Amino acid sequence: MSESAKIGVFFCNCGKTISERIDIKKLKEEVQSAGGVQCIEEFESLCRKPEQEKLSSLMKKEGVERVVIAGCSPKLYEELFARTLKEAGINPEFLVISNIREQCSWVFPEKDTATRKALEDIRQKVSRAKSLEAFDEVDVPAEQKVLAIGGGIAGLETALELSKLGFKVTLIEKSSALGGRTLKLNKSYVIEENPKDYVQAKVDLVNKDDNIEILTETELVKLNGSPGNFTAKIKQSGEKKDLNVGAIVVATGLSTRFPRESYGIDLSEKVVTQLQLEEILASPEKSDARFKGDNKAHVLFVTGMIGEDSKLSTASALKNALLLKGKYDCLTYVACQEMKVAGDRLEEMYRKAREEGVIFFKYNGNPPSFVTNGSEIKAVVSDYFLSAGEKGIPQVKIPCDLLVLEENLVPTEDFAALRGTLDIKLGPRGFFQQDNVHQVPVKSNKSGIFLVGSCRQPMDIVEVLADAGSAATQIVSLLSPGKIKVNDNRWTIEKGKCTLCLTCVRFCPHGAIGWTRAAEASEGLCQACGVCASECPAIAIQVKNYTNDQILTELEEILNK
Amino acid sequence: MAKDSKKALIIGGGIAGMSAARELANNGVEVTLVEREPNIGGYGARFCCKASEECNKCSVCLINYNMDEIAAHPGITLLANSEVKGLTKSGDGFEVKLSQRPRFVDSGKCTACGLCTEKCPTEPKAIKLPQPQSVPNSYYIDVAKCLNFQGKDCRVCQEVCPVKAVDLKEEARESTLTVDSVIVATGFKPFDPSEKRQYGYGRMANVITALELEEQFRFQGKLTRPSDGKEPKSVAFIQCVGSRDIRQENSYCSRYCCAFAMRSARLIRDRLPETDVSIFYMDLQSAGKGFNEFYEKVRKEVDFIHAMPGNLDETPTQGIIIGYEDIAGGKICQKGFDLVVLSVGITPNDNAENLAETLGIKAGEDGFYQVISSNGSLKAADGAIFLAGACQGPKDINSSIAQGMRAAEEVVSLLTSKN
Repeated sequence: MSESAKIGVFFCNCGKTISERIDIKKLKEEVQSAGGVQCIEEFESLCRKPEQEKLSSLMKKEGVERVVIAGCSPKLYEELFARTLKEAGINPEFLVISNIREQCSWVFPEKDTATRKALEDIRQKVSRAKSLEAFDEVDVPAEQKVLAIGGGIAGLETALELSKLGFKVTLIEKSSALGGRTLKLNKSYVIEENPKDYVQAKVDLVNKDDNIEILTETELVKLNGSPGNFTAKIKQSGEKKDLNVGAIVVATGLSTRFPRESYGIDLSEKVVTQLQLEEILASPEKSDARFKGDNKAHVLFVTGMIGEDSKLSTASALKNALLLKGKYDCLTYVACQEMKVAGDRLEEMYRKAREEGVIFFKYNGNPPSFVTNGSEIKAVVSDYFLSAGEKGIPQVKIPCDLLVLEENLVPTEDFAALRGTLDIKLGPRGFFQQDNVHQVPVKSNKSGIFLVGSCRQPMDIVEVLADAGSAATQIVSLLSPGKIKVNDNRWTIEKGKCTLCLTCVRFCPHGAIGWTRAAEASEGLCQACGVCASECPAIAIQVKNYTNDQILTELEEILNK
Repeated sequence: MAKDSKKALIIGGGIAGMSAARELANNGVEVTLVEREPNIGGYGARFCCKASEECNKCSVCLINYNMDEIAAHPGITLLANSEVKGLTKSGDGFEVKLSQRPRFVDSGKCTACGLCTEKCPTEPKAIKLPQPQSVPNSYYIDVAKCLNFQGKDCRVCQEVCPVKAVDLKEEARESTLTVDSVIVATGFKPFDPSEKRQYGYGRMANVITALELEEQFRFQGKLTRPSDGKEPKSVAFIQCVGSRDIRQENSYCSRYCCAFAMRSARLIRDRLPETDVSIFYMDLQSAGKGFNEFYEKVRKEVDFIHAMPGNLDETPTQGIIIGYEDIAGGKICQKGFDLVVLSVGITPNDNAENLAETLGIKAGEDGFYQVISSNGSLKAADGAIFLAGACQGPKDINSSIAQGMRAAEEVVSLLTSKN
């Protein structure tokens, strides 16, 4: 506490919207007579530049050390005033805003009530200003190097973008080759190029790029440190080594699972998943052998039976139904719960497929069943729009030469282990959870770790590219200044009180707390949200300027009139 | 970024443009953001939070968040009320001609105290905020309503303004700007449902659009029937109005509307628990992660009717009667509702064609701007012009943000590699 610091209280009339409805003169007198405030001044509208310059020079002249501004909501101009303080050589941490506009003058019709509330609020803010403690921002050097985990399209694209922006990247891949699942695709609905060529071109670029180091058959085994300075322990064929990197990109993609329990039929020569069909179509010999001939093959695509909610399976069914129709003149059918067309080109493909004679069934809650007789497979399919009143929903039997079933898109097997190593969160379906679902979707809950592509949710190639781009810009703005600003000693713990119950470790939303003999927070990861301090059963943790003592003093100031 | 800083122009201050602006400015690019309207935020600034007892993840709060960030960001110059009049190549970059219509209120001085509106003698008021929580937080004069511009000698606002921000003689300003790169993020226009006569929009007071529902909740904080101001006891949403519709030449899915209807339905059920909500639909489209779980929740509260209504009629006793085919029952049905909300589609912006010509970019058959290659780049022309958001095709808020950030990344990457 610093009772002797020079405190300034500055009122803003905000045009007349505050001064007409609050008795500023009375406020000034009351603040003056309460004592402890050295400088009081009234301004017309403090958000305007000339007035700020006036404020700045006044603060310098009077040697003000702590500042209370009584005006509009801190949401509007807190940042602006923080800059003004900085210009006047005052630590912006010593700024307190009392909202006497939105919370006083605008809400109370009687001048007296508004003035009384404003006074109480200012008294509280002055007491807060007195109790504030200084802490500095320190610069931590930021490593201009990034570790990307996963050699699929997401990892490749992010690495290339980062390299273009002048960063070094180490790209690790657990299998023996780069390219990922895209290599298995025959065709993409969003890009015209053959996906295999497309991803191969990226692999070639990465191979030629001097900024990118490729390590295959390599896994991350341990991670320490904070943004700008992570130490990643990686293991390549039994050999471990440490890498110093500034940020981590997680681009591990997804995996598929065939849910036999939902379909009641086994995979076989005639029953394949969508991915298996891609692999057949990718090989001209295999697909010619299967589909070429005088007898037109009956092919049925089924989607929507297994609780997946992505448009990807509809896209895949439309794309391949059109392809089989066009190339081999197969008799193609699609049975779906919903036609998911909320994506680029999908409605167009749906229309084209109908024009070309692909037959669609919307089963609307009555999913198809499958009957096998030796090697013969019949699907019994119903269609909602063919239903006719009391007669019920008619069913159509389709003999299938090929049955193409949607598979579940699931996290890869090593997700759990990787999650543990990185100490980041998983979402409800087991994919990595972005920090805020909306704002910057590539951020994880841990600062400096970014999630790119299908490891956070299933997506198509163009969406993966958008993710890679976002992650690259985020990393550039994080690392390119060469240093990261970190609050010094903001988080404190009384080691004697810590019983190592690890409540804080479990509650910390940012994975910032670890422990040795007592809990310790990483200054680089800590966002000063205060969750640990409020949860700590021993009251051992305090976040500076929001300590229990400070908050209690402020409350007392309001209650002791 | 490079030592000497680079400049970018962003056309359109909706969520895509704002996201791009923020990313660029955070990466040291000097950004000028041009917005046609007096305030930024686009249509999204008029949407409402759709939380019921829990957050329904509509993302509308992000638009406000972005507006505040743009307003406070030292690296972004905001030109509201402005349009791009010309663009010529100059070296690797462009020379841009801009024109700013007068606002008659200096937004650098205006403290949004509201005295001018209070004293303005016209009704509705001629001087006003574009909307509550507007950015810039400054009033403007609607010339069509202002007495001064109709030859009368009224200068009340100018006289009462305590900070002397009103200038009734302000003139349009033309300026030129040299930039290294341009991002086009001009957004969309909601489909005008009066083109679909059978849905009665414009003829029946209690048929409203999705945007009107959003505005009711945002600005009035409640939902009422326009005809008598009473709370509706039953609400129907009709999906795909002007989307997936060849007759309207909008043969695409507008992507935001299924989730909009479902979230709004939850909001209505939360605010008005006695009110029944039905959704008429063609196919339900997924909206991002966790959609199925969300759908299961909505299904418990809302009646989903798998049919597109044929016609609407207005009756004095039963409200709006919707005629539709009950497919499972095999018969034609009629059902009355107090309020009908049309989930209108997304269509290209009004002056999309003109602007395309000015900028030298191309629009596709559906009227949305096109990228020049299918390799995932958002480049719209040779040279550094990129697209972001709904001007490139229908998008929800999250996809617009993602694309805005991708466009920003392409700009940063291009400008960096040139050095």
